[in-house]
Amino acid sequence: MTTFFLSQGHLGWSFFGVLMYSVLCLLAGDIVWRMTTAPFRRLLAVMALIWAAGAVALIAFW
Amino acid sequence: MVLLIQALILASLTTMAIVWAVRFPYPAPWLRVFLPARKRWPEREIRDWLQNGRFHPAFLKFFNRDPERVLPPEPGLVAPADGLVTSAEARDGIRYLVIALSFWDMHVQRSPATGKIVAIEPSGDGFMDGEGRNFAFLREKHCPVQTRVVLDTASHGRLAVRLITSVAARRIEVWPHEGETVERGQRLGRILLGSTVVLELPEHITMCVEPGQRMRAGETLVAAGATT
Repeated sequence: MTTFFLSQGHLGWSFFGVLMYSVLCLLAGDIVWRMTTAPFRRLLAVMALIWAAGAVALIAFW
Repeated sequence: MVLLIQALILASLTTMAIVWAVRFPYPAPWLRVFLPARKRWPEREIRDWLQNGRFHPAFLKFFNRDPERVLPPEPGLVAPADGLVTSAEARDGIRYLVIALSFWDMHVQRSPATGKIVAIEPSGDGFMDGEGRNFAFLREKHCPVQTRVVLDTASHGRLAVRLITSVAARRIEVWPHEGETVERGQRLGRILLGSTVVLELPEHITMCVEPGQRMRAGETLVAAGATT
């Protein structure tokens, strides 16, 4: 049985990819936040957009 | 097997996220390697360490670094310390070039010129030195523990490098001894967790630096002129 969450006895690759991507986005966002002087809200909005676009791409094209 | 590998990867990432959250707002250990020194060890974190006396070993290693420096080819006085020039006041014929060291500056001081060390004068809590001069104008720097290294130079006359630290740190190392000759740019000593270096030089010497400028010990030219 193959679903979004499970596939052939392991986590679905899309789901697994989104989880990995989310944590890496969080850590990368932290580095960007420390290295730039951009306003926090703008950074948050940009990071949220990047995360959403990546997550959608992983789900749609895996 | 695939599930096991996925679980291991997710467990590692979850651990990283948890440590990141626990450490926040300070950077997590694996993030530090990507950050420049000032961001790697934020000032607030260093001040916390000063309070509890438990410093991060990597920060201490960074703080105690002692890199080689390349002397400028031009003759003249070189900066005795890394840091920011905060004032260059003249009193009674002597100019006091005050260099403020931050937590991230290299803390080994260097001789500004070739000369003979004629005195090494540690002093305690007062703002008056042994010659009756008042350093109260340095009061805002909170600098009661000092060691003054006096140099006789052929090129610029009598100079002094004053190593200043706080009551909390109270540790200044001076490596050469009285009577020894030091070369231009040679290591003079180290302030351990200290804050300020003052170069005293004759007022008539024309300076190449001004307040607000950053300096590198042994590399930045402070004053032009013949030197050996």
